Amino acid sequence: MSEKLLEVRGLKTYFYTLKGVVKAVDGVDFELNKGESLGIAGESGCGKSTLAFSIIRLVPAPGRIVDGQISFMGKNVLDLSEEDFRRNVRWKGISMIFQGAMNALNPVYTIGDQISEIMIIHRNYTKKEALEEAKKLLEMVGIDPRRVKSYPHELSGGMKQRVVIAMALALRPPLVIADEPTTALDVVVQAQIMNLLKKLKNELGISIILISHDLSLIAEIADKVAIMYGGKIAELGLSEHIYLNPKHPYTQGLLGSIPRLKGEIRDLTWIPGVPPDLSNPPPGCRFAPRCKYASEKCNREPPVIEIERGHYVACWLYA
Amino acid sequence: MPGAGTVIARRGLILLFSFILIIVIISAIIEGSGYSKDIYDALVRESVNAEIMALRRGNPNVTDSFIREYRENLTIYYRKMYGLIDEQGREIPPYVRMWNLVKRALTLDLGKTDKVEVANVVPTIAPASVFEIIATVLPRTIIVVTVGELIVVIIALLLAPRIAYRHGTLVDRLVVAYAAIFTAIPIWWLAMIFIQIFGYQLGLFPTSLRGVATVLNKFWDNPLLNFIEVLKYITLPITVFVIWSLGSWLYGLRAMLLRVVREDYVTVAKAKGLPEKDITRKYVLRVSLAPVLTNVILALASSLGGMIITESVFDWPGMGTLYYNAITAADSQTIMGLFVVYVGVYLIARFILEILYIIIDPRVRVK
Amino acid sequence: MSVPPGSNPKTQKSIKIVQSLKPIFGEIWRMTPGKVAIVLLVFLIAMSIVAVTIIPADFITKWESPTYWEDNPVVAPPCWVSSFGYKVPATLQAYTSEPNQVLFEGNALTAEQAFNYNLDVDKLPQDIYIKVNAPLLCYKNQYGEEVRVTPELRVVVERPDGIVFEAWHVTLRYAENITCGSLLTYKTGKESFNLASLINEMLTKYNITVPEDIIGYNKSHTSTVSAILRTTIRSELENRYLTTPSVFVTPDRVSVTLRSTEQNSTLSSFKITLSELLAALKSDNVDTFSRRVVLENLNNAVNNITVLLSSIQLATYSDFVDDLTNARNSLDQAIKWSMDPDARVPGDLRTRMQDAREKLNKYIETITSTTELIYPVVTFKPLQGDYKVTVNLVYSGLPTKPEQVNMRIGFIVKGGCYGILGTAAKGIDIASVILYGTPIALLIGLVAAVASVMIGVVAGIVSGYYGGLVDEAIQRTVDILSNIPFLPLMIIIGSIAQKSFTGEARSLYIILLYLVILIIFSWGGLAITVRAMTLSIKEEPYVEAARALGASNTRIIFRHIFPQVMMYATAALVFRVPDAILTEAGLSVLGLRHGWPTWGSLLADARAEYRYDIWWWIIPPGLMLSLTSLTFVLLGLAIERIVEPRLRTL
Ligand SMILES: Nc1ncnc2c1ncn2[C@@H]1O[C@H](COP(=O)(O)OP(=O)(O)OP(=O)(O)O)[C@@H](O)[C@H]1O
Ligand code: SF4
Ligand SMILES: [Mg+2]
Repeated sequence: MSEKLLEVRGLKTYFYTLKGVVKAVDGVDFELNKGESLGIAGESGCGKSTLAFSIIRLVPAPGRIVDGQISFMGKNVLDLSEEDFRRNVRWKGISMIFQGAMNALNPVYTIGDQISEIMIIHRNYTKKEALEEAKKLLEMVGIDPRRVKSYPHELSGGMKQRVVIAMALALRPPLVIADEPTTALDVVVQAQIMNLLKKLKNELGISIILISHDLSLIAEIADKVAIMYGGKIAELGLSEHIYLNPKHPYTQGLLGSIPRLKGEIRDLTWIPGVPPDLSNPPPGCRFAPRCKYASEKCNREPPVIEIERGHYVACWLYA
Repeated sequence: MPGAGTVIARRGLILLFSFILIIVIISAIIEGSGYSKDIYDALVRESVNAEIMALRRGNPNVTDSFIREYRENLTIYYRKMYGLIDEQGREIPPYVRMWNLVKRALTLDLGKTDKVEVANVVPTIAPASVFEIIATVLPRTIIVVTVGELIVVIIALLLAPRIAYRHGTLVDRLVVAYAAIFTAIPIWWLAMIFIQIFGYQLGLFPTSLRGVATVLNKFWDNPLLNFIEVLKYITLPITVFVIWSLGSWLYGLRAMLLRVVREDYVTVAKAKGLPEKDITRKYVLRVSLAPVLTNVILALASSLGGMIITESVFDWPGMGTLYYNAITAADSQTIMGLFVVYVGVYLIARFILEILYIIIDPRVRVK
Repeated sequence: MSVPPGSNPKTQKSIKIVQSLKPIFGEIWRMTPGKVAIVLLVFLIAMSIVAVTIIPADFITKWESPTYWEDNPVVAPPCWVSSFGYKVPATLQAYTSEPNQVLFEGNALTAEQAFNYNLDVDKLPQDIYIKVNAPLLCYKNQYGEEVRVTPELRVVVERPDGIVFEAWHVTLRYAENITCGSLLTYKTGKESFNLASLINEMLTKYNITVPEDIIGYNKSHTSTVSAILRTTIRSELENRYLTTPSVFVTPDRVSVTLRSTEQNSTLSSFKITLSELLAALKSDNVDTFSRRVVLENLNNAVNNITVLLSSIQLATYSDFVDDLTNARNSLDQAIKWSMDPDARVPGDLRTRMQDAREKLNKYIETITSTTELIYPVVTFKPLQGDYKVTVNLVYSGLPTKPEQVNMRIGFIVKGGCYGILGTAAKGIDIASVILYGTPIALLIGLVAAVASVMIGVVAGIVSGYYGGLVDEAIQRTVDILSNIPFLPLMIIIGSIAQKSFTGEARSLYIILLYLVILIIFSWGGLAITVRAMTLSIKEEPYVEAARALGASNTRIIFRHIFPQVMMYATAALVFRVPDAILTEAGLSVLGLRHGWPTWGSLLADARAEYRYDIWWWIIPPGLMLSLTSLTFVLLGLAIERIVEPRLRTL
């Protein structure tokens, strides 16, 4: 049995806004083994990014982690002091590729500076050594190493994204969280980036948490898939479980709405209705207002059922 | 750095052109509106009448015809003196007078003023050199407005990053409320209230600050003692200035920094595990340097012009008061001199900024 | 309008707009600054509506004239200060058209009206007077001539200390060209005030006299001395109490002293002069009869003065006056005899004797008519209690009772407070100006803001959408304008306006000019932002698609660009409203007045008179200015948060 890398238990992250408490992540459990990759999918606003931010403890104000625990390599990272966490876990342990990476680079420093400062801070490299390392990293993600002296505005969107990935891999961390690494890129570049990630995952043996609302992207890379809905995990399982044997009505709907390029065109089962307002979610199953199987029971919190080994569903249908 | 020199030269030329154009516009307003002519005509009449009265008093037997002739000659003399007619006695049209004004302004020849109201600000005896008047009055504005502005800028620069990080917290809300309230309050009214409370009710400070001129004019006789004396005068206006403008500075800087603090690259920097002070320095302050510097430099440059209304409320003998007295005395020479200073300083500041941008911002460098 | 409102497409459109505003309103209301702003705005609008409904027609033109505020105390605090322990005398402005009593008796028509005033604090009112409007009555006598009868006005004051005196007694005068029946107006003043009568009453009532031991043995001086006392009191009441408020005073401390020692040097100098004359006359040894008489009299005079000097501490007034009179009489004799050629008095000595006599006589006059010797000190204090003032208007010599006599009698006591916000100089009622200034401020602010935003939006869209030469021209203009120092230029133009505009609409023109300049200088920033927005909207795929489908420029501008820019422009508009209001106020404070009753002009008066010590004069107008600005700043903040969600969460 392989080693456990990350374990999230009962995580709750709420935003305290003037309009009320937004329960963006409301009791999420999952675990991830070393070298394993997890895909997280769900509609916009279901709390995917918030979950990612919670793991690296960067929930933006007015948000706060209110409950739960996150164990990384056996340690509960929520118990660490800010300074401890910064020194030992950030980037060394968990690095992240952010959603909307177009803006992830500081416009007034060269990309070389921005990659090498990571090594200078965490590895105590000299400036020179760090720059050498940065060149290697750039080469690894397929960018001309002489570009270290370039400023971000001198790069194309795809190049910037590669720089961001190079940055995420600078310390070869055991876990990389990639939050929509390819949105806003055109299809060709998207494919290149995904291939790069796949290659790096295989070569370096790192775990990746890939967040996307696009299930077909996740299918390319993930060993496990979590489907989020309204701040909770609706269904969690191995890729084959989810793609071949989806149980949760929401997952079924989602898979139905992936337009396929190959194969016959199934009719797109569009899920009617709108995602729940997380500051005032429906009681019980949050999917109930949109679920065609909804019944009386669904007004109570659905239990999490292990339908087959490692395949969990939160739905009354299987209780 | 391709073409940085050309960029600077081009911007410099544009600013120089603005300077000339503005001077022409102002001259046109002063001369073309007949504003100074009306006042000069009145002055000529007054001076002539005064001399004739004196003549009559000293010599009761003069004949009417003599007086008529005398009046004519005097009128011509004074009209020449005020530049209303030329040597041949021909009326000088407004555009010529305007052109003369422009020419002197552009050659930085500020000339002399013969207005008592203007000379009184120093105080000195008219006629006096406009350049010397400005040179005496400018430091008075600097020790209050520019120093006040500097204090505000320093406080705001120290506090704003902390507030921007606490976006949405109580402190932040208080700062926004403070800024809103003090942008709404006119500073000259705040000045009146402060004079009422600290001058009249508590008797801590003088209620009229005109006296500072005397102290400053003999400042070097006994610098230490006079410095303390000057403190007594400047405390109230500086306090008013700082309290009033701190709010909008904090709000403005906070907004500038917030825009940066919320940028993705700051979050990335945090995730990268950079220490907080590195983030503040390299990712927040360094990035917002350009807009912050713009604001600071332009504010300091404008502060040299003084605060016309507030100085008049405090009776502070600075640039604002000088300007106002020049206006009431229709002293186009001094008005023009002050505009040369206002616009000149401002445009020089903008030119310096253009150069700084090229140094600071890699994005400007290539363009 | 024949079209019913519902079917009017315009109305429908505006209903739509109002409906689409509803959620925005709700959004604003949800934020604290928005809530505060809306409450303040409702308050300001309510004030404006009230002001516009009740403003007197002549207020705008007359509010700066002192006669408009004649009955108000000047620079008086609001009356509610008394409930905070700052006691001030009340202000009373009572007018009546129906006197208590109208009688026709023995050919005389008498109207009588009594007023009461209670002084309950230890301070004096600023003034008290009666104002009457009464008609000129006429009748035809037996020869058919018209006889004009004017009323006589008598005002009797009964004071709490029992003194009753006739404060005024005048006959109303009329100009020759006035027709019968027209109203005569009269206002009592200090010229006609019967101060002497009040002083007499006080002297008797409080038994104020010069003590006998000061007068001395010669009782015939009593009247002179009393006259000095009276004069002292009179000048005290006229100078310190400004005459009419004397109605409310009562003697506090009374003392009369003899300033004997102060006379020492004058008397000594008389003695020396006379002794020198005596010595000079003695030295030439002429010994005629006349000369002896001269010498004798001179000697007497010297003796008189010497005696007085030697016992000066004990001397009474009589001693002073009588001894000096004796001395003068002796000197008179000496001079008379020195005229005799026999006396052989040299001319220069005679002149010196005459000079000495003149001086002595002057001195006697001084001590008998001024406070040089007799020194009365009388201080007064307010007399608290109930005052009853009875006003009588009497037409005498009327053959028959007139049909109807319309008269109006006013009784005014300018106390130490006025109204809810007090008064400024000239008695200007601050509350009125505050109220009537509200719609003016809002109007000025809105007009300038709307105009500058409209120009900014149009210029920005044109500049961004069409580009090219127009764009370049607009951008350069904005750049030049932004380099011109606004306030100095505004001040030049303001002072030109002060001198150039005249006539009825002067104020309006000046304000319009202010607005025009302000607008010229304020559209630039917005134009640049709108230009940038237009540029980026123009590039949006759906706009390009619309263009490809053949949409006209106007359609693209109005469908796609304008709506997006509008929300931002609204925030800019709201932020701009205070600019014009504060600029107007600032220019007024500097002395560039326009003549409308604005908050700024109240502050301008305070600055002109340097009265920053009067809190009720400077706080209310400044507070209104600040609150109005605050309203729009907060509203702007709220709208800005809707427009730019990044700034949200507050
Ligand atoms: N800073 C914030 N303040 C208040 N609420 C927030 C904040 N950030 C996120 N939320 C709320 O939390 C919920 C989850 O947001 P999150 O960004 O995690 O969604 P997501 O699944 O990443 O969506 P997307 O696919 O669009 O990126 C949303 O309802 C959002 O409104
Ligand atoms: S619990 Fe009920 S409502 Fe929720 S998904 Fe299952 S069936 Fe639908
Ligand atoms: Mg997200």
